[in-house]
Amino acid sequence: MNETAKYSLLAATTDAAVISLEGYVNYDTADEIYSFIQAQLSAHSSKHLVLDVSGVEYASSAGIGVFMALQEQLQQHAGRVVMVNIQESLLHVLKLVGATEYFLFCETVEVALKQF
Amino acid sequence: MYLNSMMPDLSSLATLIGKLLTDDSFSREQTLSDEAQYEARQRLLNAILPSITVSFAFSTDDLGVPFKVTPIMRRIAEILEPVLSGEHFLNIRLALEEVVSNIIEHSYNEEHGKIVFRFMITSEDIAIEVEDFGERGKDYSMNGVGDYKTLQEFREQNQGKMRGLGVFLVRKIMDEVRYEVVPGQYNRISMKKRLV
Repeated sequence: MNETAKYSLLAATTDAAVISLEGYVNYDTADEIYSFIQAQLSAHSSKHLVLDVSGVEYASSAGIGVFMALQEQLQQHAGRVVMVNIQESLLHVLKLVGATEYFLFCETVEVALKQF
Repeated sequence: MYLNSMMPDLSSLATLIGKLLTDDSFSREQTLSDEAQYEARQRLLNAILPSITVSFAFSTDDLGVPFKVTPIMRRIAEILEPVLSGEHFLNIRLALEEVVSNIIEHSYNEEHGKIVFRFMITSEDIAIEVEDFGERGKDYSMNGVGDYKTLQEFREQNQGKMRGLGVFLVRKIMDEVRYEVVPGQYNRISMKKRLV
């Protein structure tokens, strides 16, 4: 188990920032993840966020809070958060919280980028 | 960490319980229906195991790491995984992670501190108490906090914010949640979850 978080920018335009997120998305890692994503969105003036979450092994409410805060911020300028290739562990927590309707879900980054 | 139990050998007992709850070979020789098998297991569990009480405590000195949630949760998972079935284990671990996160953030301001856990597990339910000894910066008796009926209601009050979902999630997962704050002494959260 990778009990830290890994994140990296895969691509960015003014349309969307594509970011890969792996590992643990919880209280210990939420702040650094949020800061990294915010910095990328800001640096590229991206309207939408495409998050490849296929490598997320574990998420708690602190992680869900990051995703929801980002969605609400992007929404102010008609932006969206799209989650790519979500796995059961993260989906389970989103369902528990009742947060699935806040996000778009796609199987690949290519499909996600066609949503805009 | 210190570990004490009313039972002499917790780990072997935990293994046995886990086996009884998950091993289909338990009554393979019989022609009982699934439901009858399940009831037989429950009767056996009730007979041999009225309850287990486990209590243990963490302090960061014991763990030898900065006061983080993840190492604490790893220890809790080691205790709970053998005695809880899959989905119950995942959900209860998550609820406990939310409680631990709140203690670290609000009681100890991410500094060193002690957390005491008590688990009382029967075949029907699990009761959990978590105590810390920090100074709560605010009333943590949760009057009103986390009482949102829906996520939409919660988000309307917390637009664009990352924090605060933990208590909401704990209440979603557990059947009973109670807070008790005795200033200068302890903060305690008591929770209960039915397992059947």
